[in-house]
Amino acid sequence: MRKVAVVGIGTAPWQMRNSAQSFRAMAMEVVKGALAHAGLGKGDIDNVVYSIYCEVMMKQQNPTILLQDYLGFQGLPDVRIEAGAATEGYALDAAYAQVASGQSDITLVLALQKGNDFYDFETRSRGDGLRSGFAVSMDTTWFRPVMPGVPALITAACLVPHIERYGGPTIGQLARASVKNYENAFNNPEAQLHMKVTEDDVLNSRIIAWPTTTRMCCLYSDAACAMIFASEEKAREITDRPVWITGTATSTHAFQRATADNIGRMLGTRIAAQRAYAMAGIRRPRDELDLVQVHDLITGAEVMAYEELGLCELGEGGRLVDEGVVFRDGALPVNTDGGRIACGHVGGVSGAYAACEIVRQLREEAGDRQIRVRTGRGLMQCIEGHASMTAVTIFERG
Amino acid sequence: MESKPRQAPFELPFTDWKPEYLYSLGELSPFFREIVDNQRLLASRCPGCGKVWMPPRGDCPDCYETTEWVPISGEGRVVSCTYCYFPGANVDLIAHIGLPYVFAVIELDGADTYMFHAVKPPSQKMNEVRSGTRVKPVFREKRTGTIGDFYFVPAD
Ligand SMILES: [Zn+2]
Repeated sequence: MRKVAVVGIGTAPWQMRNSAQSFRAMAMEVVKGALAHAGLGKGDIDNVVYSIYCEVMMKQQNPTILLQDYLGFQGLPDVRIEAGAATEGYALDAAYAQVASGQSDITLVLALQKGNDFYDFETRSRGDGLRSGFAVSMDTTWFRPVMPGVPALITAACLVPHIERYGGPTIGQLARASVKNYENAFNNPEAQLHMKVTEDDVLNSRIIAWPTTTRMCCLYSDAACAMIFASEEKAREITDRPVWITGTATSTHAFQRATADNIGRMLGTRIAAQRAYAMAGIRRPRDELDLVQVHDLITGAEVMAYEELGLCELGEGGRLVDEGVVFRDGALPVNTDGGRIACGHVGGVSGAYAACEIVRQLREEAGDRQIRVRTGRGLMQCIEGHASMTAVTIFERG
Repeated sequence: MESKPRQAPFELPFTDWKPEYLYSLGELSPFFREIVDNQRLLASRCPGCGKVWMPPRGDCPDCYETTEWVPISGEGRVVSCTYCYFPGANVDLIAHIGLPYVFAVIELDGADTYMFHAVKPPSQKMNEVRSGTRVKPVFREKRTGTIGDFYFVPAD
């Protein structure tokens, strides 16, 4: 297996809806950005991995052939990965394997999703259109008929038993973790929301599914970003600031076989993290990482992720918030870009953007939100709705 | 429609594609037929390991044995739950029972795995349904063959 590095990233501002660009133009913008960041030309790419979550949302099946054509990649191999809201992490894992194995020297990862074109003409509501369309993402036999397509509810099925079993996080801790992400987004010019939000604002916003309020829930967006992975030999030619992928793993959590053993847990995250740590040679993640980007689909998922990633004991996640550890100036900042709550979210893209944020931070290119880099390591975790699928990627600057 | 400047994005209402399905429930057909015809719940039991799966499965994921149908009372206990205040678009059951409704993890008597389902709190107030609450199913008048054909209410 060869070493693999990220040698370039291309991002664009998060928007609730990007009606000025088709998905093709969104792709072009971030691909150009990533090539420019890496100092490469289109002809240097020899393979493409597409991270695209949902075709139905885009009104286009088989979008990858249209993109290969639009981007002028005819003749090159490509593969599309789909794993719900964990699509991006699975795509990074696949791209890593293709470069590490020698199948590709320079792979482009293109993460893309239009999330807000759905529309309900009867109620004249984009949100209703989205929730109806999104519903087939859930198990249509056992979930769809008994619950609306609301992330807070899907994840509540994990958060509430977690709180009951481990005594935390508290509602106050969840609110403070939300405020942290809103504050981080303030320093990210590409964030969808630049809004001062207080703990009271979070607690007083509408309850979606107890204890989760609107301001503890992710945004929904049209978004794209791109990353370029290169083999060690190529990476050393391309840049003197490679960011290596030293650990990558995916795992699944039994979803329909809920029992006393697994309820309230994100065991997929636990297992994926353990594998990724072993691969990266990390024993004490809390001390050995500089920053962590986790999937704050709701704030509760973020705090539970601290625990399942082994940054603290089960039930202690809220304490990392109270003690300031996870704030931007804390010992282990989490979601420095603003996360899905304030920067933006759509399946297929937000985890890749989180990975770009780690690359930016480790290369010390994060501007006003730059953290102090000590160990040079960062971790990205992304999950599908109920944490039934998890991907973990570990980055280390060279 | 008001005219827009040339450079403004042109937005196309796309309404001529509405997927509709005639969806086969396959090996799960006896479960849904029992709900529609007899207002009763079945679970699936593995002849190999004896586990009773709920929601039911045609095959045991542990032994790969084909499961057998066994009747259950449908009564059970709420393991954990959340109150949902958010309307679901086109979720017929939620329109029927109203908001807030309780989205619950339920341990049905006789089953080895939990099921996620909806509980209607008697007066739509918080804390009427909580962990430990005993529940029983109520079957709806109109049943079409989905798990939205019934919901749960407190048993006493
Ligand atoms: Zn069995």
